[in-house]
Amino acid sequence: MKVTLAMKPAAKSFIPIEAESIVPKNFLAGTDLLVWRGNRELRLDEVFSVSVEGDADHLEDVEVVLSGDTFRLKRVGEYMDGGKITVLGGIGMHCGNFMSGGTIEVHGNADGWLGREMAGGTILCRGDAADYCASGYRGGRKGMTGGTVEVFGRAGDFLAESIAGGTVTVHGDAGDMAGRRCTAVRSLFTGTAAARVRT
Amino acid sequence: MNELLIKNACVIDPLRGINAETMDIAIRDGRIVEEVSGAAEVIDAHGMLTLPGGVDSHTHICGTKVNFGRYMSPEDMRAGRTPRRGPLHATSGYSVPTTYGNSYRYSVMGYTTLLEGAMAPLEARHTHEEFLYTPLQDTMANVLFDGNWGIMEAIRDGDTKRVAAIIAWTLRAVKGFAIKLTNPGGTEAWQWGKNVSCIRDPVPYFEVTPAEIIRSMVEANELLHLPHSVHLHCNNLGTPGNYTCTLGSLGLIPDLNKKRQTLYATHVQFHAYGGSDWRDISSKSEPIANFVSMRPQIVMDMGQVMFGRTTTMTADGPMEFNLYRLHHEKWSNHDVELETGSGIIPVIYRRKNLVNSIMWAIGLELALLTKSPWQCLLTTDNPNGAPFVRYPEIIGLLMSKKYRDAEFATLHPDTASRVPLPAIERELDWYEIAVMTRAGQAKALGIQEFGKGHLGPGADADVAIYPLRIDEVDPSTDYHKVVDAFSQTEYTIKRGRVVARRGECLVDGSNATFWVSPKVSEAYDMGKDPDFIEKFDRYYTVRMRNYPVQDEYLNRNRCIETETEL
Repeated sequence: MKVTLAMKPAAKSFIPIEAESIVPKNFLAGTDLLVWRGNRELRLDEVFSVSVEGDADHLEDVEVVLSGDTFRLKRVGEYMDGGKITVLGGIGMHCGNFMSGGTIEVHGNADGWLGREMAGGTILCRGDAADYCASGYRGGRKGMTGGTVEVFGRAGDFLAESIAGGTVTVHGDAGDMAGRRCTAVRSLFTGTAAARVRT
Repeated sequence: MNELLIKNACVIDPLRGINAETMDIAIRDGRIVEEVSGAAEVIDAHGMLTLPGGVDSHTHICGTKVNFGRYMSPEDMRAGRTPRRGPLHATSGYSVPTTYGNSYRYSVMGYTTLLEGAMAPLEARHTHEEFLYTPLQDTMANVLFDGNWGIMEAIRDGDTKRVAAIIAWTLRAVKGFAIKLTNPGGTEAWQWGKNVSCIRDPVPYFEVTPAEIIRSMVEANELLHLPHSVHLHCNNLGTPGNYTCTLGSLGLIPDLNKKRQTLYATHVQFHAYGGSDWRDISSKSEPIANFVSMRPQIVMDMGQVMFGRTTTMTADGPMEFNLYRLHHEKWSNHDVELETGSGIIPVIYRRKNLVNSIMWAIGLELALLTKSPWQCLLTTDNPNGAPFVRYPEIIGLLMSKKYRDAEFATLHPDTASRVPLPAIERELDWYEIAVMTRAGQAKALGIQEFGKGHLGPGADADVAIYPLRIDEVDPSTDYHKVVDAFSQTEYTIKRGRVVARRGECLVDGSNATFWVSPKVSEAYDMGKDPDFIEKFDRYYTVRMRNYPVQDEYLNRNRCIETETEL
């Protein structure tokens, strides 16, 4: 099953949209989902043109494709445990928080906190990732515990902060404080061109 | 006229000697009265356990230190989130929740009066502002005097009356309730890169010892006839072998007051360690409990540790710095000009850790080995030993040997050889728990005559009705029922109004702040003392006229005026 969510140009707003409901699992039961913009709850089809091709019985067969101006769309793929999300453009903050399985592929740039505290699964970011990529929460002792994050562009500051497991590979430069407070690290950094935190 | 009648309540009211009598409680306009008219609203308590509203005589819930704990721990704010609902505000946080979080959770547990354990005088406004947003409890604040320059100079000069005069001026200026000494002299010494190891070490420059500070403050406290006694956090907190220092400090105290204790020693669990280092640390709860049992002039509170994460915060700056050197985690220390200091460190107490296991046992031992429950009150030094939401579990542990044994079996295996807890058979009864959680605390704070901690006519109508029939529950085996009941009242009544019911708060209340204004003669008014004014203007960063807290900082102003000997 392929679910395509094309952001409606009219839905673009200064206030970001919080879309923690956009995880493949939820689409097994249909597309009747809600997202928040500020303190207002909106139906998915108020924000996106929704189209569904085929159907699926298993989580692994679900692919969600996001297109349009999605750089202010937050928390996509939070607590995701399987399936695939493909973002054709950029993605907003907190994409793939607490993710434990499946794949997120971002073709554009990712805003801050990509894959925060993830426990499993794969995140591929073809563009740049902003600060706190694959990190823990502010003040927390334990960040990412498993899974893989691969960034093909640059990563911002605090990459893989307090990482306690999993693999983070950055092909471009990493910002300041990469791997700060990390526990369980075998190698960190292989030059400015590739920052690598591997456990 | 607002009337309420609570019928068929099974009342335990230790300050009036009432032990589990079925009776009715009549309330009019926020006070308990003999009887009400037929038009009164009726609550049928169905024989449920009914106690005066809970009093916490040592907790850290409001002020700069608590707020810095919030700043430091964004991760703590991820727990305990509740949305805004009706008259209720949103809350979040676990060990250092928002003020509303504190207030609602205390209320659900039946607590109606709280004493903030340590308020730096210079930063009093912050405490009072947070009191305003702690709506469901009446509040009061201990004022820190452990490193007050003016007082230490007066002590060095042997002028106890001047000590009392400075206390009187400061209490009135900052709208404080009582004297708090936190590691007396230690935080001042720390500003010289030192600490005081016990009561005989002189404080640098001032050349007074903690023993002299404690003695003078106790005498000054009685000169001022303050409702509460000196509230002491002994020197040398959290160090193996510190129990000798604690005994030495308690031994300094004469019996000066007929109505209440002369010294309130707080979180004594942290001061009852034997051994010489962290490898051979052991419990010395027995000598301390025996010592206190023989001296009616001393009341202590437990400072119980419960396993899990929490935040330690105290005005004892050097202690927190030592803790930082132990943990190497995030840490804060702060200096308050001429007065005191503070430090904050988040910690996790683990049952697999031998030291933490011993600490857990010591708190319980103090409560079980002290003969009179009036002399050992139930606290965790919230949030230092554990957040106050763990109180019901502590009540369960004190009431059930079986529960203690079950918990003990999960601790570090070496604990049994270091602590006497497994040999203690005592199980506290309902009456003793009522003493330790409200009556004893109200008496120790000296607020029973202001209508707290009892249900006699004229008292504030603060009542907690717990969903529990004490004739049907055997606490030694059904301890889970006890824990559940004390976690959530059936009704919490504050100032004659039902404020919480079955875990839900119902109203947005308005707190009252108790503070003390000692009346002193012209000669002892420090506001007119040239030497005091000169020192103030020279060393403080604020002008003296800007220092006092204005009345606007108090919701309901309960000023206690005392006649003094000055």
